[in-house]
Parts: sequence; structure tokens; C-alpha cells
Amino acid sequence: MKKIISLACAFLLALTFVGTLAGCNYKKDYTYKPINRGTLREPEVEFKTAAEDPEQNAKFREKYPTLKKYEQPVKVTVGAIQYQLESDVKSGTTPMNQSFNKIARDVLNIEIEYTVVSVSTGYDQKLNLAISANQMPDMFYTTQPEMFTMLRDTKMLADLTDSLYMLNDNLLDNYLTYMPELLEACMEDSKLYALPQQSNKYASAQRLYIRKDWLDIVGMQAPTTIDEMIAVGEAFAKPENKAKIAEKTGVAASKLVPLSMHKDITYAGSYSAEGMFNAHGASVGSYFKGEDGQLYSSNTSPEARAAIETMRTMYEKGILDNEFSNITSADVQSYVSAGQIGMVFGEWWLPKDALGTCVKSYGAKGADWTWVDLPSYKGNESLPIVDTTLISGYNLVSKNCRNPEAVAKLINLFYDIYYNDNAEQMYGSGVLPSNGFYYQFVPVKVWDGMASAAEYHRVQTVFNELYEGGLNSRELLSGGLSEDLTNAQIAEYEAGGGRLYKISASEKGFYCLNRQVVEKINSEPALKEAFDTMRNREKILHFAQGYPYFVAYKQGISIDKMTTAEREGWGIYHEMIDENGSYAYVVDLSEGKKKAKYDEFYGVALSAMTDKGGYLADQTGIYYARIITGTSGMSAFDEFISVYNRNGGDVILKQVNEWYAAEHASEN
Amino acid sequence: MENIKFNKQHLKIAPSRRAFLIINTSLLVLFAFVCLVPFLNLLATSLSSNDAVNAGAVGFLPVGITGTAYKILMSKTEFFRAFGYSVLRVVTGTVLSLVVITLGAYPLSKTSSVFRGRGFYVVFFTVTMFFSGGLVPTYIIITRLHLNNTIFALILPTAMNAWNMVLLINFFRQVPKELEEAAKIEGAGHYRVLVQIVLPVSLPAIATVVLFTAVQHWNAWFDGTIYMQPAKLPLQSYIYNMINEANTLRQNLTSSPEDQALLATLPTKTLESAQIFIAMLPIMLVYPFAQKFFIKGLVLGSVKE
Repeated sequence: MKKIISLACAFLLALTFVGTLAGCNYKKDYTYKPINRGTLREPEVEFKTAAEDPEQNAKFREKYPTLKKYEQPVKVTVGAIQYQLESDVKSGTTPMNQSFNKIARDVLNIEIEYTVVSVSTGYDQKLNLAISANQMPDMFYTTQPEMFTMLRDTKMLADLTDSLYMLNDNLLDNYLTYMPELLEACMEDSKLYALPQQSNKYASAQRLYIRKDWLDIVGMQAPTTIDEMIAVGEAFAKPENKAKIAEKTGVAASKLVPLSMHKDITYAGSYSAEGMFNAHGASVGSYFKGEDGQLYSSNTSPEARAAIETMRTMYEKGILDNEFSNITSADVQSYVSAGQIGMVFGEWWLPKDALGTCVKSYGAKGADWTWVDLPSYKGNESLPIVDTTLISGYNLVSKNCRNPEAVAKLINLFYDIYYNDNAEQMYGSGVLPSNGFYYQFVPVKVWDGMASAAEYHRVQTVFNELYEGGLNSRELLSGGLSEDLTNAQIAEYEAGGGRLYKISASEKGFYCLNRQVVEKINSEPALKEAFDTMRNREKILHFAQGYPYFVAYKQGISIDKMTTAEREGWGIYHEMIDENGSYAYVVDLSEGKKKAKYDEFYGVALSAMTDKGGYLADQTGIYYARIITGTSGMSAFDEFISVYNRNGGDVILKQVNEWYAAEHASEN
Repeated sequence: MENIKFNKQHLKIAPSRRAFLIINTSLLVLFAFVCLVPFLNLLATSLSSNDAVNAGAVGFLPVGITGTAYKILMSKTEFFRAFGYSVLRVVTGTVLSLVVITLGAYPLSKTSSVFRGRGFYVVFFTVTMFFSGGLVPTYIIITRLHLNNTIFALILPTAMNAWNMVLLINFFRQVPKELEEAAKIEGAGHYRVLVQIVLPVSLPAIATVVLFTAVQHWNAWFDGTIYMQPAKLPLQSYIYNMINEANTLRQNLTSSPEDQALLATLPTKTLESAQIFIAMLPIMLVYPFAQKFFIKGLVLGSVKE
């Protein structure tokens, strides 16, 4: 008996050994297997928007109603992320007690039950666990493309084609006319498995931010070409100029750095090298279409080589921070805040971020920033590089859900509340954040880029109207707009018909628009009308922080002559309100007034990328850093190309091109 | 006099030994200081002004000293709710765990002749020290029993800790048999023997187990994030989420104005530090007092008489 057992053990052991060896030898097939997307099923009645053809639209809506109330109560289970509350939302609001639930019950007869609720950190894990335990909610929103593809491939999702047609005119028209590729990305075998939420792909567009007061000190203009940028950098780096800057701003000359970026060269984002790469026509990890019609990897391209060479020159001349390979994004952020950096690359939100902190702290000594589009390289126009399509998340419905169309109804309801000025008249005061409506808690998500841009333009208009209308006294606005009020004062004020706005629940001051300002606004109908058209959430914050600065700026007061409170509004004003502000660039790109270049690869990572991409990204970072810092010569770039391709770069590229051919098959 | 001199000479430390002591002591002091560094930095950050922290100017000493972070913390209800929930968890969890472990350890401390099948149970419990059912099966059990979002999801799965039980078994074995026999002659049953004889003489072991269990409950964060809804998060899960949320948002600073608005809801670095510091306090305060039990407990059962 014992002999048999030991023989069996030996056999098993041998089997394991052979199996392991075979595994080592296993060559994975990286051929791209295309997904048969098919075509979207046509609606039974032809779709025309109400603006185009009211009659046809009425027929269409009879078949595909947007907000038809269920006759019997319908229960759906959902997942939701419990984010921190923004300052204007009623405190104590949770997904379970938010006012949206009640509105959905009253308007649609939908009973929402929250089965997976988590703060944002643990949400995906919780959802994954619930799915593995066969307790997937009826509908939920996820930002993870991998989760979407996994559920699609395991046939756990419902077909949402009918739900799509039940979306309101704006959304449906957006999807069908402007973003069909978004829908296509969610399809398989002519079935639509998700209602994707688009995101503003232009928001990641890079620009060059420069200290304006430094430029004035060295007597130069903001650079428009890479050569000019190098010249400005050299001027910033000169010891005598550093001494002048130090004397004016009070920051030690030894700490001043002309251009900074963080160590993660292969990682795009704020304060990174991405802007520099973009200026040369490259972007780490992106794929572009070559003249032969095939995609090529930007990492090993001549454009990337040119960018590296520029950075190498800048490093050598002491323009690029010589410590860059040791510092993180957060470090650069703090150096910028501390007034030590002359130039950085980044996205639109930098003014309210570190640049704003810098102006707040050093504005009294003249600290000021300006920004320009990416400087051009050798006469070629430099464009920001962005994704071709950007799906920021997926509204998914379980195939076990009895009422999949409820997802469309909920989206329509959310849209009505969030993007509509008359929401309060339509659905009552429950739509106000102060009564427990919080857009982040709504279990479905959708974003309307057009509406967002329109709103952006509107805040600028309102500011101008208020200013022209007579709300332009610096004295009236002095001391900022926040004022610590006691609860008794607030109650008294609200009893008198005054409208108070909670500005910030965080560190400083708890309430509100300064009393005199509210009185002034309420006293003149034109002002009140203009002011009330600003939607509540967030825009009031823009007003409270940015308006005093706007008034001083409009009156030509220089930054060092402003009051501290006025200077605090610098960031928000030049970011979100100024017609030439940093966000205006994103709006211009979205509206097609400015151009961008596109990364041709998008979507879920391909298998070769998953297997080999990590090592290649590491190698890319190492080689780039070695060349920039002068450890290796420029010729190391050729060595890098061969290392990159040998270790899987060519396998990935082949798969990417197969993917590209499959995705664009219908075009040829 | 001579004697004393002799003694002194006798005690004279060789130079090499002296050198060793000096180097050893300074290294240990240095090491202790290195352990303190993060705490000092945390405390300094929590007491500094926000601008100084954002500018990266804070090291071991606060810059622009202010108590704002702590003042805001005092009004932060979620923090104290989480704190309260953690205290509740520690108290109920420890009591429950102690009851279960004691009831398990007492019979298993008997010999096989008294308790038949003891061997099986010992193996049974020991296996759980090395293998668990895995995350998904555990999750399924918890949700099927409808324990989600209740305190029991946190305290029941860890109530039976085999390692702590082995500790108690070994200690119970050292209790002189004569005590127990005397009690039995007086007519005491097993429960009376356990409660009135064995437990009182095993206080050091009990204290150790209590400390282990309490610290484990106080520091646990993972189960909280899985089973509890945000309103019922224990303190460490709350802090874990707070820091992670801030980090992910700050790193991925994606696109939309909506994300930017979310960013504004995050606590500042100073407030973050203040919360972490307050969360560390209870355990930091407990350790010095419980240390004697702790050391005693660690060597439990290591020496047989």
C-alpha cells in the first residue's frame, strides 16, 4: 500500500515539474481577435429632435417615452459611491437619504435600493466582491473598462438599445450625431451593453505656464517657440537675474529654478514632461498614424528623440531643474507654491492649484503668472495631444434586471435636474443641494459637454453684467465676501428675505456672502436677475472668491496693490471666469476653435500591453532620464529603440495595428 | 576601603567593551529617534499653517503654529462617529473574543484521557491558523447571514483566534492541578472551576490576550471597508479611505470641473495629520501601561517547569 502511495506521489510531482517546464516554454499568441461590434439596431420610428421636426418627434416619443411613470412601483437595486459632500450640500446627506430618491419615486414610481455603497476608495473592490458572490446590483456605474469588458464577455449585461432611444433629445442627439464611436466602443454583436459617460478629452491638454513678473524683470516676452523658451530659460538662469528676482520676491536666489518637472517622465499629468513631449509632437505611450498608414509608437519616434534632446540641452544649461529625477509631482507643486519656479507645463487647473497659492503668498511682492499654448518646434505648429475618445465611465444594467429601461428614465431625470435652470419649478425644492440633492450620489452618470461649455460662457457674462450694473465698488466688496456669521444672525437674515450662501465648509470662515453685497444685489432688479441666473452649485463659490479680484483687476489695480482677499481670487478668476483664462483653452478646443493632435489608440489595454507594457514603460523612463541628465550620450536613444522593440515593443505594435485595422475596417 | 577599591577594579570595563557600549547605545538611540521621526513630522504638520505645509516647509517643528486643524477636527462629526464605532468594536469584539477563546482553551488544556477527541480539535483549530476560506466565500457567508453593515460582520469572523487560544491553553496547563482537584472535592463543576479558579490565576495571560485582541480590533481596516457602509466605518477604515481618496484624486487630477470641485471637499494636509495623530493616541497611551503584561505574555509557556 505504502509503495503505491509513494509511487503516486512521485508521479504527481513529476507531472507538476513537467507542467511547469511546459509553462515556461509556452508561447502566447498575441494576435488581436477583433470584436464583432455589428451595427446599432435602428429605432422602430425614425428619430428627429423636437427642434428639427416636432411631429416626427412626437411619434418617436410615443414609442420611446423619456419620463413615463411606471403604473406599479418598480424596485431597482443600485451601487453608489459616497463621496465627501461639497460645501453647498445639506450636511448629513447620503446616497440612501438624498432627495433624488424621493423625486424618482414621485415622478417615475421607481424605488431605488442601495445594495453596494462605499466611499470611493473601496467601491470597485466591493462591487467586485458583490459580483463574485452573485449579488450584482440591477444597475451601477463604473469607471473601470476592465470591469465592463469582463461583464460583457461573461454575458452578465442587458442590451440597452431601447434604453438608448428613451434618452432625451439632447442626449440621444449627442450620442448619435456627435459621439457614435462612444456607442460603438460599448457594442458587441449589434447589442449595446452600456450607456457610456463621455468625458472632456481636451481637459488634459497641456500648456506652458510662466512667471510674468520674472519675464518683466529680465525684460522678455512669453516664448512662442522652443528656441525662445530656451532663451527665456537662460535669462532666468543667469546669476545676476536670479539676484534681481530674489531681491524683488524675497525668495533665496539659490532656490530659484527656471523650469521644473517631476521624475516620472513616462507619466503624463500636471508638472510633467508631457507638455515638452507634445511640443515636439510626441507623447509617451501614445500611437500615431505614420505616412504609410500604419500606427507607430511615439516612445521610439524621432519626435520623442527631439524632445529628449531639447531637455538634455536645457538640463545642461541649468534651465531644467537639476534635481528633477528626485522629485515628485507634489514636490514641484510645493516649489511652485513657494515661488521658486519660473516655468512649468500643465493642464487648465493649475491657476487655482499651485499658481494660485504662489500668487496668494507672493502677490504682494508682485508674483504673477501668464500662460501660452505649447511653444512650436522648428516651425511646426505644436499641438496638445489628447485621447481620440474618452469614456470616463459606463452605466451598466444587469441582464437579470426586470426593468432595464429604468436606467434611461433615471438618466433623463438626473439631466433635467442638473442641466436645467427650471428644475425647481419642475420637481420642487428637492433639486437644491441645500435640500439634499448631490449630483455625485445619483446612481447614474451622464455629462453634457455642450451644456457645460454654455455655462462656462454664462459666468463670464454674468460677471460683466454685474459690473456694468453697478456692483463695482472695491469698498463694498472689501474684506472679501466671507463673513463669520452666527446661526442667530443667519436666521435673522433669512427671515428678512436675504439669500445667504454657504461658501466653504472647510478650514476658513463658515458663511456667507457679505451682507452688504446681498443687499446691494437684492436692491436692484437687474443685478438680482443677472445673479440668479448663475446656477447654485459652485458658481456662487466662483462669485464669492473671484468677484472682488475681478473688480480690482477690471479697475487696473496691479497685483501687488490689491488687498489679500482680492488676491485670493486670482486663481479662480483666471481659471474659470476670465475670457482668456486657462479653462477657456479647453472650451476653445471642445468647440473646435483650436486644434489638437490625437492618440490613435484608445480603449481597454491589449493583452500584449498588459504582459509587456510595464517593463517597457520602466525601460523608457530609465533611458530617457539617462540621456537627459547626460549619463548617456544621445546615441543611447538608438540602443533604447532596439531594447524596446526586442523586449516586446514590436509585439505590442503589431497587436495595436491589428486592433486599428479591425476598428477602422468599416471605413475602408 | 581596600575592599571597595578591589571591587572597583574588578568592575572596570575593558576599553573594547566600553567602545561597544557607546556605539551600541548611540545606534539604539538613533534607531529610536528614527522611529519617532514620522510621529514628529505628523504632529508638526497638524500644528502648522496650511500654506507652510503646501510649500513643503514643515519638518520636525511646526511652521506658523496654529490650532485650526484641531479646532475643525472637533466639529467633524464623522471622525468622532468613526472613533466611537471603533471603541464599540474594540469593547464588544474583545469581550466576545475572550469568552469564545476561554471556553475553547479550557477543555483543550486537559489531557486526552480526560477530553476524548482533543487531538482532533487541536488540529482543527490549528488548521485555521494557516488556512482561511478566502475572501469571496467569507463575503458570501457574511452577506447570506445578513451581517453586512452590522457590528457582527467585524467581530464575529475574528472572535475565535487560534493563536491566542494556544497561548491560553499553555497557560492553563501551568495552573497547578491541585487547585482544581481541591475545588472539585468541594463539589465545583467545570464552569465554576474555570471562572473561580483558573481565570483568576491566569490574569497575566488574559491581559495579554485582551491587549492583542484590542489592538487588532483597533488597527483593523480592511473588513470595515468591505462590509460596512460609509456611515458605520470604524476609525482605521475611515482614515484609510480618507488618505487614499485624497491621494488618488490628487494624482489622477483628471479633467472635469466636477473633479476639481470634489478636490475642494478634501481635508487639508494639516487636518489629515491631525486625524491620524488623534487616531494613534489611544493605542500609544495603552501600551506603556500594558507593557508589563505584554512582555510576560510573550514568554508564556516558553519555559516548562
